[in-house]
Amino acid sequence: MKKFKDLNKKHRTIILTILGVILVALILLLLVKYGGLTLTPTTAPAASPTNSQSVLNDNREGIDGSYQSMTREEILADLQERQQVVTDQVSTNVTFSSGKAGSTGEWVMENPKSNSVIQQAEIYYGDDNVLIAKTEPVYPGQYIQAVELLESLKSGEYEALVYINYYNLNEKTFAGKAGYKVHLTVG
Amino acid sequence: MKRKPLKKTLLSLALATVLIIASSGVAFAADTTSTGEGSIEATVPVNGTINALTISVTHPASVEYVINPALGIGSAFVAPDITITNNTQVPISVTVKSLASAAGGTLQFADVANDAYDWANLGLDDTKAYIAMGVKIADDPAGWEAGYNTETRYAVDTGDSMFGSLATGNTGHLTMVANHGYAFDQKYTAVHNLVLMFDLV
Repeated sequence: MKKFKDLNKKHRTIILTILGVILVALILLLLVKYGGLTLTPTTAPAASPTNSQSVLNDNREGIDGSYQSMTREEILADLQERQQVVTDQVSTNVTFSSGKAGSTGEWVMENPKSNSVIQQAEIYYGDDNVLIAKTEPVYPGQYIQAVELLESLKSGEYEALVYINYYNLNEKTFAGKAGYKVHLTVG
Repeated sequence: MKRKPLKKTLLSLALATVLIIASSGVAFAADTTSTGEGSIEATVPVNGTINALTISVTHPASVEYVINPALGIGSAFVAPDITITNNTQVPISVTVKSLASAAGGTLQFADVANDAYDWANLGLDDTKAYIAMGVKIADDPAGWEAGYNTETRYAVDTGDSMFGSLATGNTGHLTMVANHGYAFDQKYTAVHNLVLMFDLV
């Protein structure tokens, strides 16, 4: 302390100034770290998108006229062209000589050559719609004439529902279905 | 060469004919002889074998539709007619078994009643959530037998809806109708399953 007092006034001022600067820097550092103070560089304000260019670059331009979406008629024509039409040919009677599960019955379903779908039929019986038969896939130009009984049935005459499921030829994805009421004879 | 007398030739021919008939099993009225005095009755059973009819119908396997809000309120729903041709030798009846929204599109609507919403003012979320889709006989009922059903069957309805019958060789048309919102913010696809049932009249 005595040494510091011994220094001349000029040197003391310099040392005090340096110490002051260091103190201010330390305080700032502490504020940044713990006090939430953020230091942002001073930059020029960003230009808004509308005035980013002072001169229009018109190398590209829009299409003349007003936009016309497809008309109702054009949409309809497109949908009609894509519509998949099928023809079903099924016998109105399914006959099983025995009502024992596993027995083979007579029923004819034909998938005409003109169709572009695979057909697979399911036959349901009763109020609970019990599945009693399911055919193999029938491709266009093929037919089946026999079905296997999946559930035992008592002898008698019944009404049954046949659902023909359609599958796309390539993707084998489900495309729709239609139903037919048929007569069921169990011997 | 000595010729055979004509009498003998005719006799041989008659004998041969009798033998052929007797051995051929051809039963002339076979098998029953009716005898009696005065008028008598003969019962001749006629046995038949009747085969089941083949029912044949041509129809769309599936139906696609487009909702294009740009076409305007009330006109945005576009779907082709469902054309049904009866190829069967007798008339058939056509019934809508079910019509229901199904999974498989980029959005799945919930089926609601036709008057459930103020459709033209539906917001984004409800537009993507609800639709009232139905099917009915086309405005031009050509092909359908008299007495056809003029009601619209909506997807929200339950039970079978018999629409009408088609005579042999006739073609009839069904039309899809829908009420929906218009606030679609992108392209979507949606699926409804329509099941038609065909039956002999």
